Amino acid sequence: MTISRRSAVLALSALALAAGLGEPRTASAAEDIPVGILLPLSGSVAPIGINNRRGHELAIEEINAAGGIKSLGGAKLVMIDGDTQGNPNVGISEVEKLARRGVVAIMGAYQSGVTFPTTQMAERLRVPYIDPVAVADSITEGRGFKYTFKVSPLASWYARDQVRFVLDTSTAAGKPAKSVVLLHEDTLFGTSTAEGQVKAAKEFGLEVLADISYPKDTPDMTSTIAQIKELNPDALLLVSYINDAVLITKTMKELGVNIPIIGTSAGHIDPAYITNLGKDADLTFTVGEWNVDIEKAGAAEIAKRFEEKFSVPMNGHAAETYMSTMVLRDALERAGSTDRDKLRDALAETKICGDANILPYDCIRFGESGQSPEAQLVVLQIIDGVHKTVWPAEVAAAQPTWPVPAWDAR
Amino acid sequence: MSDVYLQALISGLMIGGVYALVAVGLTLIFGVMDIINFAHGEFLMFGMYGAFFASVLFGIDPYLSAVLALPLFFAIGWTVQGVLIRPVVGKSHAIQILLTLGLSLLMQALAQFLFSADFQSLKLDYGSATFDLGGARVSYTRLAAFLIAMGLCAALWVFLQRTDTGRALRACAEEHEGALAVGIDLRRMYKIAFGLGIACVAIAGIAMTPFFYVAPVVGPKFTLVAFVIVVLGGLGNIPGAVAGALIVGVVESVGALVMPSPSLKDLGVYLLFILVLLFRPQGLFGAKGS
Repeated sequence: MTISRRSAVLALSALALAAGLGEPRTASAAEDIPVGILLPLSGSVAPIGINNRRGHELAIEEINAAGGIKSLGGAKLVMIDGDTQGNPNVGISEVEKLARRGVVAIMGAYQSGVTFPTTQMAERLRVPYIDPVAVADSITEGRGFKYTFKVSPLASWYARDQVRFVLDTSTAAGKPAKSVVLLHEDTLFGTSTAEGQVKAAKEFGLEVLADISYPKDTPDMTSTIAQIKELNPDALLLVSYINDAVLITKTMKELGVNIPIIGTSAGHIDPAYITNLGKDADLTFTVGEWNVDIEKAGAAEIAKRFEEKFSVPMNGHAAETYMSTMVLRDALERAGSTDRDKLRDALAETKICGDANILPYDCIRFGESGQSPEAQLVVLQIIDGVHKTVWPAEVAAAQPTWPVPAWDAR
Repeated sequence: MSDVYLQALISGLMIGGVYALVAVGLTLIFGVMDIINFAHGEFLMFGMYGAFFASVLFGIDPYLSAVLALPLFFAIGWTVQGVLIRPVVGKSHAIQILLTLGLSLLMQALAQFLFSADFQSLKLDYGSATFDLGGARVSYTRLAAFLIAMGLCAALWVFLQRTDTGRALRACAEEHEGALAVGIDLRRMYKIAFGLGIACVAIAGIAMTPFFYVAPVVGPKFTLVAFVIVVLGGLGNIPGAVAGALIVGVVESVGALVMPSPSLKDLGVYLLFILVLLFRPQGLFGAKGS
């Protein structure tokens, strides 16, 4: 099967090549449109960068197969890679190189720490920059940039959406939540997320009974979990890496703590959480960027094509890079030009709604700051060993189980 | 609220028991050979992986693995001592530290290569069963780990007190030249000490697998804790190590409650550590060389 598909592709490309050779390019033929893809393709975060790139690759392949950019005479998109190596300085010089190579726009750079300075350089060079994945609020907020367009939600919205989910779901279940306990690891990721959670809880009127940080890789969490049991909040918001996430859930079972767990992506969205805990992983909630089962026509189909092409399941990052490429296509069509300023103006007018947007909200558009104002997270619950989207209701694939039954009744 | 403290005290004692077995191995090796084994936690990690794969691949219960591990890891320790450690016995501490630290890195890299960097855990039917003790929940598997650890520490103590080999080991610890003069085979004693130390730490790891995760990076945390305990209890002092381990376990666990944040739970342990180093460098328990 694989071999035949591969040979079919080979034959097709040979044909395409022959066709190209037989028909020399004329002045009127559409020129390829170079698109800059700025990602860490080497170094320690390279695996994630490479996965991000797959979303762009699939989208560009589909756009070109469907006849390219029609308002530009069917011009094809071509990816030009800039490898940041996960390093902000390298990223900045890659932006300059990409700009010199004539890319119409740049998409990247996965890491907030690289995206922040590289958007600055792009702004100076007046190159439109689409940020599909990096979340830091500081990338768009309060900078007044004209060329940065951010498809991903703000980092602070993770906490906002966790709190909104707790309130929505508990209210729907007939007993609105009043209190939460925050438990998080004590490095920057945990403490900064917890700060957001405290703020969001205050804003939405949830009482924070305790804000507990713990050292990463701790061998025993029993006393902390016993304390949480005593506090008995309506929900437990966690920020944990995979090993601590597993230990906390195990300890909660041991101590019979039946409080809903709401993780913050990271350890709780890791497939290893399910392989490590088996049945005990069930009913855990986590906030996430996207999930294959969301109620958007086309999402499942695109995810299937993705998995066929790359032999790995499509994740939230890939969905965001895929959609960002579609945003670029839409703007190029409307601009009818590869001029960067015209493209920037077209991007600012973006409105991709409904099923055309596979991200878990209605319309992709860009506010004054360049942030997509409707962007939001989804909440997943593990049901029979699979992450299922349970919130928000418009894109949910399953009903959330809330409150969670006692451990010995599961 | 008293229930919470009882829970913290009990879980502190349980994990302290495991720390004790790790620390006893470290202190025995130090006492006899005057070497600090920085790769100690990595033997714990290999013990865990051994039990993990024995269970996943062959369905061998971890508690049976613990029994099988005694001769196996004794042999491994014996061999490692003979091949790697022996050349640096009696050399400068810098060389010894470089060697055992290098061994630690090598073993971590090897584990990552062989078993992948993923965190894994055993899923056992009895893995999270508990019983009630005066309002606190006690996990059977943690209790089992505690009892195994305490039992082995006691057995080691009896072995050192009552058998000829044990007495010879203690003689080595006290006075190398003297031991040599009365005809004790020092090289053999070194191998026995290292073998026993490694068997202890590996069994500590195995006893934890029913309730803890396994990963190549699991070791250093335990090496560090064991090192603190050994200093608290007095280098080379076995009952001191056991007492120190239980203290550290309880201070960590109760500290997570009384400190303003559990992040500071180790603060108490390290404060104690620094105070002991300043005012009782021979350790909380016993005199130097005992």
